[in-house]
Amino acid sequence: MSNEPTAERPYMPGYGVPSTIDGVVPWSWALERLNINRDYWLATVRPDGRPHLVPVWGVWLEGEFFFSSGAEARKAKNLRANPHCTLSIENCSQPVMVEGTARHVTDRAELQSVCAPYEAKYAMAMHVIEDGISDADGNGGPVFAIRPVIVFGMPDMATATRWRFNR
Amino acid sequence: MAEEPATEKPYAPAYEGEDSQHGTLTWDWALERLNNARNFWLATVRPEGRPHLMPIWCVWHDNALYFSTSPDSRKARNFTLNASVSISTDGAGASVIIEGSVWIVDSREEREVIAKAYEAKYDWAIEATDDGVRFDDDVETPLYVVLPRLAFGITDDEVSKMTRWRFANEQG
Repeated sequence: MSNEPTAERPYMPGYGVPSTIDGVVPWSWALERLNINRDYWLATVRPDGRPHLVPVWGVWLEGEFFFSSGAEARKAKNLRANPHCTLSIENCSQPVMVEGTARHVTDRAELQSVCAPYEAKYAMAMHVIEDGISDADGNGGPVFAIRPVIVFGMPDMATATRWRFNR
Repeated sequence: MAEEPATEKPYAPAYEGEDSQHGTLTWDWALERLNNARNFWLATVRPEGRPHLMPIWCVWHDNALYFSTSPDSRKARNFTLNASVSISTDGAGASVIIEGSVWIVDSREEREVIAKAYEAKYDWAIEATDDGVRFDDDVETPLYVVLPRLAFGITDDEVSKMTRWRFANEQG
């Protein structure tokens, strides 16, 4: 990503998070964890306002998180109606949470750019299909890219950090 | 013993392949994770419609998931306005995801039972008070409970066995 986000302290009353900016961790701390993580959690909102939580696989490219979904899967339906979503790594002890918006990726060159990193990470060959990407068994569908707006990282409470992307 | 929820196959076409007769996970499989998971992910919805995720500690007891948090925290302010939550055991490779509603635990007797279970699980002293629970660092908060409506079980080892359980819970 070309622009580094602004580091702030998160609002977490009662958890012992310092109010001063000294001691926050750099954005590279979060980005490294977002890159190497294998299983992610994706929270979306159903049309009736209830949250939906599901594990997803995906890759970070150029500052966005790319993942594929079944076309009729709950998460895809939710994101088409409300693109706001939150993504986390699986480590609850030193978590990173990404709040952002998801866009439906339709550009073929961009879809193609997801396949090699995905195969390198999950040892699963992917190819571009009419609307998205698919594995060799035909499991696949549309691709979404999440662009971060606010990211939380918590190595521990004393170093808890919030990053805000100014776009 | 709490009653077992009804077992169903969820709608998950990408995990089913061509054959939907893959069987299901057992409720005991789910209970083992709900009882033993140390960390949970709690998803709530902000007033403006954006989801929020935060790790939290929970105690599973009698078909419900108990936790405490500051009423001023983002998650508490969210579920005070919109009680619907999703909450999962950690470890996305094999996890149980609960969908339900958050309530404040009004019964002191119930708070005392959960305080004991919480202390046993996390080795962190907690006691029931007149209005909530108090931790040994003297922080007092309400005790909250998620009453489940649905639970989902999913494991990387046997993705086609993805299972949904439905609770007969009008407050879930």
